[in-house]
Order: sequence, then structure tokens, then C-alpha cells
Amino acid sequence: MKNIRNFSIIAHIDHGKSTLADRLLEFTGTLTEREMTEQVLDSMDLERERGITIKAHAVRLIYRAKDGKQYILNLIDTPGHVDFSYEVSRSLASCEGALLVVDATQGVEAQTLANAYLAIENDLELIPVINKIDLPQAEPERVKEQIEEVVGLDCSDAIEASAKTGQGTEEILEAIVRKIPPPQGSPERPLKALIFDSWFDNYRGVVALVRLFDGRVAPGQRILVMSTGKEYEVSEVGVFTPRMLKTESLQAGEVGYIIAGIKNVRDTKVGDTITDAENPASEPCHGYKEVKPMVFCGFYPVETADYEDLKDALEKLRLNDSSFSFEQESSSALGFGFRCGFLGLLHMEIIKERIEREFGINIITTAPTVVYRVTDEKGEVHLIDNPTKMPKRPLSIEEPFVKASIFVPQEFIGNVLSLCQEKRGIQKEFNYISKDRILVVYELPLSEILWDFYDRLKSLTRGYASLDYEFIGYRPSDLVKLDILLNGEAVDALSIIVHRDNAYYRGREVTERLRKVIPRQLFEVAIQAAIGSKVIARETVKPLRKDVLAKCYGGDVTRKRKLLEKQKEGKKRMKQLGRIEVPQEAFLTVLGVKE
Amino acid sequence: MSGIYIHIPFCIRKCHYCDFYSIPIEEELKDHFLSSLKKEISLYAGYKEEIETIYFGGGTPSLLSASEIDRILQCLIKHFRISENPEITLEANPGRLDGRVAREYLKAGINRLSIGVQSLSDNELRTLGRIHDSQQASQAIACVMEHFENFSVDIIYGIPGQSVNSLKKTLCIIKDHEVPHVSAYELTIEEHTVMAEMIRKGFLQQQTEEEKVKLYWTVVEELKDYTHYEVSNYSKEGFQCRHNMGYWLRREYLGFGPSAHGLAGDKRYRNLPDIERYINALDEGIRPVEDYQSLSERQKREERVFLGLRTNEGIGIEDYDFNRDTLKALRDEGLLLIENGRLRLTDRGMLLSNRVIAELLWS
Repeated sequence: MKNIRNFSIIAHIDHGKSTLADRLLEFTGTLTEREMTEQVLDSMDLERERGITIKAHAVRLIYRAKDGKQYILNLIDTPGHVDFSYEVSRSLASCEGALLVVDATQGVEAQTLANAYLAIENDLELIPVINKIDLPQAEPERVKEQIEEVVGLDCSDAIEASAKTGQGTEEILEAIVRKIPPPQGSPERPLKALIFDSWFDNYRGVVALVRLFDGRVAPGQRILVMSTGKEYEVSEVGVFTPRMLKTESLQAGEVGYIIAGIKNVRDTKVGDTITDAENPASEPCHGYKEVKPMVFCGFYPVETADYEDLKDALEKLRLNDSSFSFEQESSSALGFGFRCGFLGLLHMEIIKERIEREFGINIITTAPTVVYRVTDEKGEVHLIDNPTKMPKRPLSIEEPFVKASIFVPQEFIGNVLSLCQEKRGIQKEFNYISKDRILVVYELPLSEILWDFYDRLKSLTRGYASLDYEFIGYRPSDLVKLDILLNGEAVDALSIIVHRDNAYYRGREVTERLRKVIPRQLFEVAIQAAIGSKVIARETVKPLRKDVLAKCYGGDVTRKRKLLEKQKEGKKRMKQLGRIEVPQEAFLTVLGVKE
Repeated sequence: MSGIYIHIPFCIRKCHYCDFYSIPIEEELKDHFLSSLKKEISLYAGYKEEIETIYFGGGTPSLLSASEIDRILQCLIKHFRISENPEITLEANPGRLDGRVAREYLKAGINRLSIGVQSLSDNELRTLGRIHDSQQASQAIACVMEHFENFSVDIIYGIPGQSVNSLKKTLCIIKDHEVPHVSAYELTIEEHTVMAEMIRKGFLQQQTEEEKVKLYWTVVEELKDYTHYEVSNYSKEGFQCRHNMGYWLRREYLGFGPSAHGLAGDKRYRNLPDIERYINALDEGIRPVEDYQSLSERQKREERVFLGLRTNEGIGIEDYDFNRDTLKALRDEGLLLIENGRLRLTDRGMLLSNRVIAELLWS
């Protein structure tokens, strides 16, 4: 066990994590040069897209160090998006150390900092690596200073490296061996394995990726998943080389996979503990929490006939993703569909795209919403994940808040401050982390981040700002339900919950956008925004005046037929709301992306 | 009951807005065409339906002399069963129409003339690229009136530069002449025409939708003493075009000549559009058909709806299973009428017929 090192790489997007991982694989001969395809970890992620997303992965590297001993280095990859921060924390909890990779030309970014803090919380040994040192604009000294100042990490022996040229690779491997402590724990104690990822394989069932803290596990053994109390018999264990390689057993300190006839990824949630059924551990690995979806929206088939197919697709996706939830719901506007829960917007987009791309089902997405905590007239508290379920006269409404850390070059700070202001943010910190870079921390309603925060942050700072956020709790807000009415009928799928101060603005904006996307029809369409019975904005789509083919000359009806076929196709892409035909993009319109 | 359409593909020159098949007239080619046409007609000998209507369209059929028309009619009589009282129409260009010509056509057997007046404003005629002027057109109408009881005048509205007033003036002259039938077509700018090019280059400005709507209502209003019996057709009692009604009622018709269309049995067909290929096919003794299309029951049903609803006879409501709510909504909007078990479009409904029909068929 003293020859094992478990580590992760913490880096901001584009700071070179994947390339560095490739160099480590190459240097240790884990893959021969012929086998090396660019960015192995990423390409495996892509391959796994059939399975799921941008989650963690693990590779075992064998390294003979300068001290002459052979070491097993387990590289545990972490997902790279803020939606998956709990998964990141569990991956980090499976390690004793991490490389903190920072681009020598860019400096520390929000995500790097957030993940570095996560690593520190998990008592990880951090090894600073200054990457892209080969670039002419590299400023290693400045970046080291920044790391010391912001992260509070001693950078006196930070490694200067270039994942591109391979410079520093050996130094990194040596540092891993020397600085990161070997795993503790004992193979003799009862089995205690932390699940840090799992996915569903069509042929083998659930594959759980684990880090063993105590004990051992081998085929034939009966295991217990501690939070569910369910028992299974292990059929296979092994490690990733990076291909799956069957082994006789896994023991304390090691990282590998367990297959045990588990049918559902829900039964192997990230953060849960696997132990021996006959001789269980006295307590699970600490830090397990049920990840709850933060963002909800409705998915509806464009064609009602696709309902069953959509259900199948959602079930298949859920097989592989325990943080995604769905249940049936119906909308008077859109018919039967599903209310789906996600970790965040990116997560939502991934699932939506997979339904359309892999399953070929056209869907309408309703406006995403957070979960509101609403106290009704009788004093009962409801968790509301759909604006239509909002009680008529709520006593109070609370909404989730996040703490958002934003790193931004000084020249754009004004833009960022006014954006945060507009988004109802409360400034908490304002620090210069270097001459020209600022870290601002805001408390913001999560719902405000959902709309268009990230896109606007990027465009207001020409892509230079970085953002990370974490949930900090519920707070009361003056919120109202904004209904959209088409010819006097409220369209439930278009309702949104907004802050009272923004209601007029949003009402005007949404009705105006709808006027632009709803085509002229045979009759006038009135678009209204209303709070309760009070109309606050109105737009009109004037009726179509003329649509006729003047001539069917000489009995040539082909032109007329073609025209009719075109109309039929056009109609198919529309959703019929009563007498009104509404194009799919109308439902996206209320998402409120600024033009 | 059936009709025959004969496409005469020759023109003196092409009008600026026209995208029908036509070529400059040449004596030799014309003779070759006429003999091919006779061959084509003979290939359909034995066609069982009685022929009720014959229509010479084009191109410019009045480029054929009365005796040439006569020979074609003789050929038709030889090969088909013609009804006792057929309607035989010839489209005529006002530039070449005088009393003598009109009389000769009448003698040859033509009993209905359709005069391509288009407009009685010289400016508009120039914009359209017509070869005649307004004076010739008025004279042509006067000559035709002397010899023909049944005739029609074509006009076009929505011409770049056309005002409501100038359209009214055209229509008033037509009414003064007591023309028994008027076809009023909205100008459609077709791609690859001279007019499309002139608009693209900014020499002409297209009428806006709003203006076209106004012009449509001007036609409806000015011709209120006529029956608006089809989207673009207006007639006095007893002067509907029987041939064109055949199209809307989905009666069979044979089409002869290059690019002519036909409907026989379950099939629609289209002739080769090119005169040389047309002639070659007939030289080899085969029908010059480019394309046949068999129609499914669904397609036939859709055709009956979209063609029938162009006319004021409309369609029998019991024959179709339309959505009741849709019917009600369209009626409430004043787009259609349901009377005596028949469904038909109002004047407003005709202006929106593409949409109304789509609603009926697919909602």
C-alpha cells in the first residue's frame, strides 16, 4: 500500500489538464505511443457519452521512480463544470493529493480556486504546477505569487511544466511519489469503499468506480450499499489501464471498479459507501449527501404520439445518471409531458440534446425554474418546482441563493458589477488578487444565474471572466408569478416566477419577443403578460391579410400541391394552442436570452 | 364529361412577367408543331369520355390562323366524341384582333374568346411588356363583342405602379362594354422572369401586401354585379367558363402540346416542356409525356377540397370529416359559409384560401 498514490488534476478549462494527463500516460508507458491518441481521457469521455456525460474516470499508471521502487499511481479525473461540484468533491475525497495546474499565461480562475478549496477541505496534498511555460507570454513568477496569495499555497517548489512539450513531466511524477502521502487504512478491517462514479453498461449492469479505504473486495463476496441497505454479490472487480482489466481482488488504498449485478445507477449513488454484507464497516465514508436537482423544466414531445418514446428515452438516460429526475406532468397547453430535474443548466442542455440527437425526438422545453419554498395561506410549506403549482395567495416565497465567485480582469469590473447588481446580487467580497485581476464574491438568487447570466458575463468581459458558485440556502424574496395569455387564455407552459421589481420589464420583453416569433394567423392574436388578473403588457399579432394562389393555369395543380405540402410541413413544426399556432421557439423565448 | 386543353407555345415576344413555356414564332417550326400536334391527338383516339370543352391556351394561340385552328378542330372531331354543345375557347392577343379575324375564328368553330387585355393603362401595359396598347385593347373588345356573345377579358392587378384608381378605370371600361366574363389575376412575380430581374435591380417596385389586398377588394367591389365564382374569375349569369370549372370540379381533361397538363383516370400527367423533344417523341410515335403521377385516395380527397373551395359551388360538407371546432372558428371569422350542406369560401376567405384550406385539412 505504501507504493500507491491516488491523485487528481485540478485545472480550469483550457489550462491543459487533458494534455498533461496524456503526457503522464505516455511517460509511464501506460499507453505506447501507437496507442496514444490525443487526449486519451477526453476521448474516453466522448466514447462514454453513450453512457454518460462529463463525469469522473480513473486510470492506473505504473511508474518506476528515481528511488528505484515501482509505484501505482491512480489518476482520478474530475468533471469540469460547476453543475457537478458534488461529483468533483467525491473524486477529490478518493485521493490523497492533487496537481493544481495553472496556465502560466492566464493565472488562477474561479473554478480552479473553488476546486482547490474543495481539495483543501478534503485534506489533500496540493502540488502546484505552472503549465504552458513554453509560451512566450508565460509569467510563471507572477502566477506563483497569485497562487500563494489567493489559494494560500506555498509555491517555492512549484513545478514549471509544458504539457505540450513534455517539460516537467518527470518532475511531476517524482513530486507525486514524494509529496503525496500513501493511502492509510488496512486490508484487514471491514470493507469500506467510496463510490465516486458509476454508470450503466448494457451487458454488465452498473459499473461502480470506487476507492477502497479499508478491507478488500473480490468476486463472490456479498456486498452492502450502505445508504440503501441493498445487498449484491460481486461478479467482477478490476482496474483501468485505461481499458477495463479484471483483477482477482481490490484492497485498501486501491482504486478500481466493482460489478455486482446492480441494475440501477440509483443504487450506487456517488458518495455512497460499499461495505461487506457479513462484516460491515461501523460507519460509512463521511460526506455522503443525496444530490438534489436544482433546476427543473418541462419536456414535452412536439408530436403527442412521441410521448411513450420520450418516456423510454428519459428512463434510459436516468439509468446512467442518478442526479437526473423526471416525473409525468401535464400542461393544458402542451398536453402530456415530464417535469425533469437537473443539477444545473448545462446538465439540462446535455440531456435535452441527447434526447433530440440520440433518440430523434423533437421536444419543447419550458422555461427552467429553481425550486421555490412557498408558504401558503394556511401556513403550510410547499416546494414548488413548476410555476403553475404556485398557490394563489402565498404568505411568503423563498428562493435558493448561491455564493458566486467571479474572477475578472480589472478593465471589465464595471460591467461585472452592474450585471450582478441587475441580477439582484449582494456584494460580499472585492479583492485584488494581482495588479489587474479582481475576485468579486456575490450572493445571487440562483434563478438569476439560470436566465442568461453566464452568457452575458462572458460577452461583457470578452470571455475573460470565470465563474463558480455554490448553493448557500433559501432566502425570502418578493416574487410573483407572471402569466402569459394568448387571446385571453393563460398558457401554463409560458408562466414564470420573477421578482416583482423585474415583472414589468420581463412582461414587456416576453410579449415583445413572442410577437416576433408567432407568425400571423387567420385571426388577430393578443399576447398579454399578467400578474394575477392585472395585465401589465400587451402585444398584438395582426391577422394575415392575404395568402392565395391566384392561378391554377391550364390545369396545372402541381404548384398548388407543392404549396400545400409546404404548409403541412410548416404546421407540423407548430404547437396548436387552442386556435393559435405557436412555433417551438416561442417556448424558448421566455427563457430570456438577451439578443 | 371531359375537356381538352391545347397548348400553343408560340409568342411574338415574351411578356416580362410570364414564365409559361413559349418560344418565338417561326413558320417552319409552327408547321412541324401542327403536324406533331395532330399525331399526338391521334395517339389518344378511342378516349371514351365525351368532350364538353376545348381550350386553346398558350403562348399566343391567336398566332394560329382560323384555318389552322379549323384543321386542329377537325382532327379532334375525327378522333373524339364531342358533345352537341361544346364550349370552344381561344385565347387571343388584343394586338392582332380585328373584326375580320374574330369572324374567321367564329366560322372555324371557336365560340368563346378570351382576350388578354391585362390592363387598359398604357403605363401598366409597358411595365408588363405586352405588345399591345390600351387603344388596341379597347378596339379588340369592341370587335369581339360584335361577333361573340361569349367572351372574356383577362386583367392583372398588383402591377408595379398600379393604383386603385387606374385599376378602377380599367374595370369601368370593361363594365361599360358589358363584358360577360372577367378573369382578374393577381400578378405573381416568378423567378427568372424579366420582371423579377427589374425588381431585383430596383427599376420596379413590387406592390406591398397591403396594396395588393386593397386592389383585390377593388376588383371585388367593382365587379359586384358579376358572380365571383372562382378565386380569380367573375361572370354574368350563364357565362362561367365551363372548361376551367372542369379543373376545379376535378373532371378529366386531356392536355396536348408541349408542357400541357392532363388528368385522366387516377393519373395526372405533364407533357415534355420542350418543343424539340415534343416533336421528336411524336416522330417516334410515342406520347410526349414527361411525367405521370398516380394519386392516392388521400391526395384525391385533398385535391377535391383545395380545387372545389376555389369556386363558389364549394364542396359538400357531408363528404368530408372536418374538425367541427375548426369549421366553427373559420365561420366565425367570416372566412367560410355553410349553406345547404355545402361549404364555400367568402370573398375574404378566398383571399386567404391557402391558409383556410390548410386549416380544414390538417387541424
